[in-house]
Amino acid sequence: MALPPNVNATDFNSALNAWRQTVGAEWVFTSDEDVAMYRDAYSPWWDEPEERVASAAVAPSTVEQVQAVVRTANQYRIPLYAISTGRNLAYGGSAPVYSGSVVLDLKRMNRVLEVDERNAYALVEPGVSYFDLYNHITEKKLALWIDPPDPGWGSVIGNALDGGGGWTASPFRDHFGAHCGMEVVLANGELVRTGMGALPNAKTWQHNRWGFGPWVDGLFRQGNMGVVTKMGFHLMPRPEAMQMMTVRVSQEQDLIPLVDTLNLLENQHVVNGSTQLSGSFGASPAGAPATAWSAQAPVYGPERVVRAQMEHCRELFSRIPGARIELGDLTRVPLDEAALARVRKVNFGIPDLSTFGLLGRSAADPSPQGGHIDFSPIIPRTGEAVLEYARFYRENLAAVSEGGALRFLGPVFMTNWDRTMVAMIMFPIGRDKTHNARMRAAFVKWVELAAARGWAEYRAPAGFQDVCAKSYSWNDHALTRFRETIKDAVDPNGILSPGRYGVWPKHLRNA
Amino acid sequence: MTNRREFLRTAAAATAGGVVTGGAAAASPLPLPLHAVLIETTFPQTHAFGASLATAASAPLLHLRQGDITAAWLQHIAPIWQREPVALAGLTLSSSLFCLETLTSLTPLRVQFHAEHVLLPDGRVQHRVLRGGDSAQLNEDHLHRLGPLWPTHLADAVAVHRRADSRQRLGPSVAALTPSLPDGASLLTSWIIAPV
Ligand SMILES: Cc1cc2nc3c(=O)[nH]c(=O)nc-3n(C[C@H](O)[C@H](O)[C@H](O)COP(=O)(O)OP(=O)(O)OC[C@H]3O[C@@H](n4cnc5c(N)ncnc54)[C@H](O)[C@@H]3O)c2cc1C
Repeated sequence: MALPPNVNATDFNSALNAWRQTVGAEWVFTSDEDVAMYRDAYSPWWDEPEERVASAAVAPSTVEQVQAVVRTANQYRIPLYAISTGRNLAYGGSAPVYSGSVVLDLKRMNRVLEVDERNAYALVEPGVSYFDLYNHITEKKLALWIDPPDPGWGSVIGNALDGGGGWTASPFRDHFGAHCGMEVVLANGELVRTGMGALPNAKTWQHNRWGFGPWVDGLFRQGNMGVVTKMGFHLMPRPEAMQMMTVRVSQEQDLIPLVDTLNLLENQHVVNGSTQLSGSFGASPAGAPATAWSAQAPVYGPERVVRAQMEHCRELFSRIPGARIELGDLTRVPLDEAALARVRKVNFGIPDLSTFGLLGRSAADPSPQGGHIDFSPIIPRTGEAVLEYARFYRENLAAVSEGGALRFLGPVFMTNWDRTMVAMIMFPIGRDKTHNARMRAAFVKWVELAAARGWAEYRAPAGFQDVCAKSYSWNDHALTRFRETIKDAVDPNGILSPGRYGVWPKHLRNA
Repeated sequence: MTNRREFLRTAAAATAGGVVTGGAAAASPLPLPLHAVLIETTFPQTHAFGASLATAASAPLLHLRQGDITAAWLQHIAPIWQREPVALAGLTLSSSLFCLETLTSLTPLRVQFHAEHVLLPDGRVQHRVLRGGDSAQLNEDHLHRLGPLWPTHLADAVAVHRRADSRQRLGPSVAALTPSLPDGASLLTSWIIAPV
């Protein structure tokens, strides 16, 4: 059995015994093989001494048990790492940021506490997966949609807390942005409800997210200030239909009006679906029809409104000289069998796992490694910025990829969040340690090169959160220092997820 | 959700009473009862494997397309694993095994047998048994010598696979990460997930 850092065997055994009393011995995992199940399957340090691993795991089933587990951890100064379903692949899996932490596994807290169809919201526990919430809504025949990320097995809460997103309509795709009210166990074991939930007998916890006074929910997004035990989410009323428009332009400079038009339509809430931007990065091969860039603009809503919105989109996009516009079929909801077989399910609020099969061999990835980590910087949402990023990528590719020896996937320009453009590059991770080490070095290099241009990540794999956090250094790291001040005040022993997103407790800050 | 201890307790009680329910790992002389056999549809090798094993194990055959386990998971596996941790076997893409293995967390289920079969463009197949070859009485040389008959032999071996001893230490498999493949080659993965 491994020990958490700076904890002696006597104290650790006392804590384990206390946890066994609290949650039942069968839900405290200490054997090497059980604890190994919490390894990050895509770890870029897989099987290397630096791989971040847990020392044990505890799986409570109630809020009271979470409080007791946290109090014990505080008593013995044992670092905990809370996970909901722990399927944070590409960003750290279930493994802790600080090696040797005890994983606080909340999968057993899997109750859908409330789904309100009239006001379109849900209140869930951390172990509720997108599949679970979807099944609940389907069984109860509610006219509501969830907004799943590509893998449907993740936790509605865990994904939101890591800053994740999905693929249906705005504003539901930004999962943290769509939340409304939280319940949190603080490091001292105290229970807090945020927003309107702070009112005894609250009737509007999931109706208004702000409540009264300073809003604290943001501290728990990519944070380590508490363990979230309940969270409310606004859900999308099931739309009547969806239709998609594809616009192609053949000159690189046409990208500028293309993105401007897309922005205008989205900011006016005419286009509300998850838009996509694809580019061919340079001249088309001789003879091939020239398509420099294309954009997809989906609209959800009542059929008549969708058709009218599409007309308006056509009018605006046709102002781009040479733009070729294609209007896809209108898909009515609920989907029939034929539509179900044809569409990308997550765009229709249906969770699935097909994404893992699609990660196999393709023209872009002829020798897939199985795993990957994602470099996801936010760049301005303009055509000029995309072209600059594409140039930046081409200019630096040879140096970062060791003259082309390393193959990255991307960049993919993701416009699926309001106002935001993420220029994602995927770094394949496999079994070969030398290859993984070179990918790690390349990852850090991209982070540094991007930061020098004023671009930084929205989310990062656990092992790179420090390096990414360092790029947010304006005014001598004022933001980091402010977060550390809060961390020291609310978690003086630094037991909750030390190091998550670059926020370390005092005793580990310079370690 | 059945946890490992509860499972072993129930299984031990059942075996003591003379009912073989698929528990009490080391005590059972019988092959592992399989609840279902999963195959990736796009390869002829998987069909030979699936037909043979599904018959031998009297288990339903579930077809996967492009590694996607969603339908099999929602309709067949999740409902039963919620009640009881039963064994499954398959010849699939490695991502299907990885997904199922990930979904075993907090249960007593573990990958007990795991082999990789690299289908080369010239028709040859490279086999590598990564876990559980002894219990399946399988070895790479033998599979290699069988030439195109390897899928049915593999199915026979999986059909008589004994449950791993509960003292055996089984952590995660390496299904998430794939080996480097020669140009034009495809990777199939054979596996058994079963309670320890
Ligand atoms: C092929 C592929 C496709 C993907 N597609 C997407 C996608 O479309 N969108 C997307 O967002 N992601 C995507 N991901 C990334 C990731 O798999 C998902 O975001 C996944 O939902 C995260 O895992 P989870 O939901 O189990 O969260 P968890 O792993 O449970 O949580 C994530 C992190 O949040 C913190 N946390 C979790 N629960 C709590 C709690 N209760 N209290 C305090 N802190 C907590 C922990 O630090 C934890 O590590 C993809 C990954 C892969 C491999």
